[in-house]
Amino acid sequence: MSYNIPKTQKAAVVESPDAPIHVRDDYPVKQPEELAPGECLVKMHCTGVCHTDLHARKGDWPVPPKLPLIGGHEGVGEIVAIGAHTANSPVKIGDRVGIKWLADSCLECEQCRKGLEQSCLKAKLSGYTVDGTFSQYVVSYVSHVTPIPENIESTEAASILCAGVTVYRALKYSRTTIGDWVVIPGAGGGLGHLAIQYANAMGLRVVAIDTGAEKKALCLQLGAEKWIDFKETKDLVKDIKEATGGAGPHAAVVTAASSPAYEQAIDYLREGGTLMVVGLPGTATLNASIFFTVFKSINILGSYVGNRQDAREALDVASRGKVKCHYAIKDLGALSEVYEGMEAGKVAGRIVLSMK
Amino acid sequence: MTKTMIIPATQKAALLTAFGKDIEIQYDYPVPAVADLTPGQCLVRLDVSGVCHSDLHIQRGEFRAIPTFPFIGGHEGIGTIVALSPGTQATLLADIGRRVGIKWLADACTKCELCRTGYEPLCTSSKLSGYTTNGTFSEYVVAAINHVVPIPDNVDSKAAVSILCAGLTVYKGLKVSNTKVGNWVVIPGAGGGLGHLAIQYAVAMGLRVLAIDTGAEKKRMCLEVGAEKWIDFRESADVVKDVVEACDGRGPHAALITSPSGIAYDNAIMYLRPTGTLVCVAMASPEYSLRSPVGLIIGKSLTIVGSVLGNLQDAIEALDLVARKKVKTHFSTRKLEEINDVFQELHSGQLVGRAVIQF
Repeated sequence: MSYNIPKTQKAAVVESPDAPIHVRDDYPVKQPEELAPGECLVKMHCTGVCHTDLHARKGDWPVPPKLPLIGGHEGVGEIVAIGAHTANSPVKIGDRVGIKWLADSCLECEQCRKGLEQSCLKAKLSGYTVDGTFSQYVVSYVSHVTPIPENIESTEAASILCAGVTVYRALKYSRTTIGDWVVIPGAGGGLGHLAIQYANAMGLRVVAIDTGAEKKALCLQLGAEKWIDFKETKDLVKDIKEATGGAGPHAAVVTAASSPAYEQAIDYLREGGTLMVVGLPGTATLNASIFFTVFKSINILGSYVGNRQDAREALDVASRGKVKCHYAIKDLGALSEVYEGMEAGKVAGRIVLSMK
Repeated sequence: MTKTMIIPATQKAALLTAFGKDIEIQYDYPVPAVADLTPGQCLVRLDVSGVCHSDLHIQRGEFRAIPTFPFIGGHEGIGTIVALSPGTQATLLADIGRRVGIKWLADACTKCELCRTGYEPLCTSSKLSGYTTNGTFSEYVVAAINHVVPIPDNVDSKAAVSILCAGLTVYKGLKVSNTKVGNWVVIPGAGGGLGHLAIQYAVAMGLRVLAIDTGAEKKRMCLEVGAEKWIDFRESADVVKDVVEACDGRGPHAALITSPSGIAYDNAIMYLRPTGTLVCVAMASPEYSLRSPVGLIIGKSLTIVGSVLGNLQDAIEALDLVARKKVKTHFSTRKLEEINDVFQELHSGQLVGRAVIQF
């Protein structure tokens, strides 16, 4: 199979946090002969947009992104070239693969050896420290691109690569077992609506927390057993306890990006319960009563994206129809508007940008 | 508040007088006197009793302990508490008029390390229903108030009773199988009393089930209750090969053996994928020993887990899934007088699902 690889492409470039996003038609494409061993060139079908991409665009995280930056890290495409002298590539030209947040890791350090690849000190992060998926061609790494199962469309798979993997891994490590209650603040959002479905697939019972009629309808339709509107409730902790048989949930998977969403978890979690800290507010701090964290034997666990195995497992569950991303398709050119919608909290589910 | 219920002097009971003999029904067997109950005991009037393959093993003398003859077998019962022993207070879960379940573990010491760490079915001072203490093949049974199982209000007794042993056993077996959503689990004996419940618990946990058994009726039931794939072990020329192929060409992540067949255990060691888990719950015959080249267990880094029953928390969880309609027992209703026929059907592998005796 041979591909005709152009010299230039369309790409959405962030030159600085203050400048508008520059969608260029003439961004250079790295040519096959320029690829280093282990690198591959992927021609994108589509890419999801993650709230992290907005943080990268605004530069408001404690760790700064590269500039200029092509953002994006939920991309699906096909491999059109692999660097010469690449040894033992697990993928070949023509394979349909995903590019996620963790673009590459060294696979040699202690964290990599223990499976915590995402915490590799030399990790390369798509759309943050290396250029990402908001372009037609992306350089990625054969060891870390994720094979996409045959029975799932590219647009359906895109947001599994970050949103899906992230909540899947959080649930995987949440110390829950079948029949347990899990509370999902932000259940109507990109991560939340997938978390509801992964939780159901695992036999957990979901209390969805968010606001508005549209998100309520989505959450209940996707299988949340109970719903609480955090803007309407007079006493969130009381309502959550009531919803979960009086004792509170066994776990909370918090994907919201603000302090308050975390603070109340210690109050509403059942004794022995687990708070999975997933959302990434830039500067918010977790304020938890130390006394009650101890007295109630609460676990507080940080959970950060997922490794290669998590990505495959999350895609496998989705590919068998247990988890479906709720998304709207737009063009790459609409990226700025998408960011505006995200800032206003208006996006239900996910936006996927088509590269075709 | 003390309530009093009318308790007759005699009852119908099924008695075993010697190993290997048919069970005899007596219609005037004495009901234990309330005055004779020791502290912590209660008297339960049973509505239903399940029949378990272990009851047959006991009748044939295949288990180690020698009970005192004659004794009443059975260890899956549901009924109403009609009396507490003199001076015993009601507890959160047990009071006169409450509907409760009696299981294999009738009483445990609560003082030993096993009791303290959630393994009360293994307590060495335990009393076992239908084995070392009279069980549920009778209209009345003495039970320990700390070990009866609360039955959810919205579940019918006949539908719940098989959960007390069969359901509990496979539910706990799956909990210790090291599996997670999306994994393959193979269930030999999937059409039987334990097997058909195991399929449903596995599906509720997000596992993918390959059912193994034989015959059209069991095939239909297994697929109906959620097994994704089926293998008839009598029709397959090479069960191990067929299992590996069916599970993505790599074999399953776990095998939960619910069939009393030694071959089922042997095959599992061969078809499990590396790092897989073999969960042993079904009692194979005493002549069978699990044999495998140690090199294979090491080379495949397999886990072999023995799991017997479950504790009270496991029992409550297992029943909760029935209450929430994720698991349903397939059973036929029988009379106590048919107990020997039921044993015969169990022995010949003919019994599909569970037999439930209605008093």
